[in-house]
Amino acid sequence: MLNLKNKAGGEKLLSIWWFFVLTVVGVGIVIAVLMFYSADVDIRELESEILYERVSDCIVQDGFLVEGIFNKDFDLLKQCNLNEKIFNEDKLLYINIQIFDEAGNNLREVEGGIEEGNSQFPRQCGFQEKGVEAKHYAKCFKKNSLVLYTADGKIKQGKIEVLTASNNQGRKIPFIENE
Amino acid sequence: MAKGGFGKRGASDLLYPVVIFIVVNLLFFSMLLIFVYRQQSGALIYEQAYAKQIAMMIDYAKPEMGVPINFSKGIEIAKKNGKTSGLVEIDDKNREVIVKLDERGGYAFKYFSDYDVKIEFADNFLLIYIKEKGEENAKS
Repeated sequence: MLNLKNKAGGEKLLSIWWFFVLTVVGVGIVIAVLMFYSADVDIRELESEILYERVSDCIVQDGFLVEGIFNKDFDLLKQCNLNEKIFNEDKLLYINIQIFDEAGNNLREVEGGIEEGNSQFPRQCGFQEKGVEAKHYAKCFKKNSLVLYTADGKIKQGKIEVLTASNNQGRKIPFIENE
Repeated sequence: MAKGGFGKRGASDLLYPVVIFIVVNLLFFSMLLIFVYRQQSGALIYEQAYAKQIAMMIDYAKPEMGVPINFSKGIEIAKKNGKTSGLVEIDDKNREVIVKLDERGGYAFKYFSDYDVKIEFADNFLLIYIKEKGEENAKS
């Protein structure tokens, strides 16, 4: 009789329900830890801002727009020491510069301003401005600033509008590639 | 005699399930603790953070600048994983920073600057030197 009672106790302790509880707790902790430690560090917004700083620093010197910026063949990437591959082959970044006079007229010969990189990004930036959220859309940065330029021998005031965007996400190098 | 034997068997029958229950639980929770500890000191999150930090520093820097980055945690993790060299590489061709803190892989992140980049370790610091493109070749 006593024996039977003990058996019942043991069965209760190691019952299937206890294993179920352990499994739920274990799987929960494993998922939470994996999610936490595999989280992506997203710096795309910051990178867009750095790109803006870099571009505005190189096209505006002492408050004046650099020489040749109004020309059709102005090479922005070369002027700012930016790598062509990441813009035009990898298509991970985007720059657009619009230059206006005081009256708001576009001063560039080419319509659309100076443009480099992935031309899909301005649309994605537009969607995000309207409040559309998408994880894989590029992150954008846009800023206007006043500048000076010389035209017809006179110093004039104008405005530049710089839009930069990044979708540079980095990649994990697998063991095989490492070998 | 018979009664005593019965009693002994009863006691062990009561004890074994309790012992097994405690051992199974201890095993389970120690496995969980080991898993969490291993993940916490895992290289992936640090590889990613360092690669992105270095790439941002390179993009932000101007020629003739030297930028130090405290790499002590990275070195500590790499040592724990048995890796002592090649923790950070600069792939000039693809313009990528590659950080490897264990032998099983690494993390790569592209930078957009077109300057020449050189790196070296000094104690726990990673020193990044930015030079005008082609300046190194011109010197040699």
